[in-house]
Amino acid sequence: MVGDLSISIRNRIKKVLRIEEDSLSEKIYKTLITFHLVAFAWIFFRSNGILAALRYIYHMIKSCNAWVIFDGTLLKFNLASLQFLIIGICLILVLVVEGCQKKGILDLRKKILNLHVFLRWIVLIAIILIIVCFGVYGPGYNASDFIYGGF
Amino acid sequence: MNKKTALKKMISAVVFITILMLLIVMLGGVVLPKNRNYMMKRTFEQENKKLDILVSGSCHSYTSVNPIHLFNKFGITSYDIGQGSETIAGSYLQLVDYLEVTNPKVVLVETWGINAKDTYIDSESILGSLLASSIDNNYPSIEKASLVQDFESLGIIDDFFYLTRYKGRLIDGTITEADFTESYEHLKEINTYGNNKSEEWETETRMNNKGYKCVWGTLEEGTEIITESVEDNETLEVDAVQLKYIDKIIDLCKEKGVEVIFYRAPYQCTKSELKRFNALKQYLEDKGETFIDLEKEIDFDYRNDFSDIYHLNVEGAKKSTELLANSVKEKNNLKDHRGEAGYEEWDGLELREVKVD
Repeated sequence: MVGDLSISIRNRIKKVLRIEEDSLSEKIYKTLITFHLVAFAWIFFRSNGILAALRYIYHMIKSCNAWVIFDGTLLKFNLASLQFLIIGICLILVLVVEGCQKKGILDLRKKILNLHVFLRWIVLIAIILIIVCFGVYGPGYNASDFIYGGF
Repeated sequence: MNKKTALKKMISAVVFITILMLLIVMLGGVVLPKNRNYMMKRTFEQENKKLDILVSGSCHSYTSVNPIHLFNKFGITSYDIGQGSETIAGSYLQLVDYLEVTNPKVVLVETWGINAKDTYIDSESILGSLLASSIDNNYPSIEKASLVQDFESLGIIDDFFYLTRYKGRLIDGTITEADFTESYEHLKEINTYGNNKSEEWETETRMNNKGYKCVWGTLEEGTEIITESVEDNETLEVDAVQLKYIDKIIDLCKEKGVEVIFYRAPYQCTKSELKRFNALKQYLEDKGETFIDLEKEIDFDYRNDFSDIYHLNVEGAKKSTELLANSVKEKNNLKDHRGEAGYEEWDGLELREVKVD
């Protein structure tokens, strides 16, 4: 709904920024817009009711302070700095691999399968262990909590 | 695909999975908290004790049998391997591991765990987080996998491999040098317990007293003592899963050629608990096994023999230790090792009162 309502504003911004159709900059622009619209919608999914969500949005605007991203405040929400680093590395990895595969530069699956058996096993075991060690699962975690949030 | 290729692929898959599993188990060993239960077990294994009696069970086991007194009065060597809130199933798994490294003549199994679903600690904890952490230090085995399957609260991924349960330690910065050492002395040097003084005290007292938790205090003034009683023939059904593990302990001890004796340590029980102990006594006696209800054999004085309404203090433990020793020593031909060569570390051993600053 918000997406439909904001289409004219989005198009205008695109025009002002001179973003061409089907260009890389358009893709980045669209991705950023979609990401923020989804993140905005999540406020409603995760909050305890509409009023709490609106209060949250009000405070987001009223107490806007980007410094909290850097001053360690985020680490108070059960997130370790190493966790941030892992999330960052994994996100970059996903983006790079996905980008390369889209462009046809890299077929990772084929590359791994063509490796010498010992090297292949090392790579596969490393991938599995990284998922086992850093994956989000285990006691106290319920997959449906993430999907449905407070819906 | 011909047979040879298929066989080659199958062998490769088995080798791959084995390597992966080994690495998962090894990583699990790193993230496993090096707490009291861990250190007691590893130290025990390293020292490979020459023992007459192994005492297994919950906190009631390691507060009711005092190995120092047992040696000083009878010349019998023993060790308390129990863990807090350990159920019968947990005791079985402990015995599976311990009987691999030591060969006692007698195993004493304290049976508080038969009331795991109805006792003074909430059953959700006993059969959930407490059970899970009590089996943390048991090595991966078919017995462990089977135990995990027997409890709805446990899961094969989280509680068999335990890497999944403690993997958070890999990123929260709590992995320290202590996670790579097996030496208790070294753990103390690098202050593993930090500010957890009660954990440090309990570890110290048990490590210094052959697994015995040495508590001198008596009941706090004004503590209400309610002693229930039931007739011997009044019974209540015992949880089938715990009974299954009673049978498994009997079979394991038979296989290892060890005499097993089940006992109940005294504590303030409800009528239901007492009825279940009666049922267990009947069950064991029907099988030709021995069950000793210490509270029926000894006239305990709750004011002077208990540190709280659930646990015996040093005075109470002296009484229960002596009764158990008298019950087992002749039947099992337990020798008096006082002054005997090879038992020097036991001679002159005194109960060590531990203080933590």
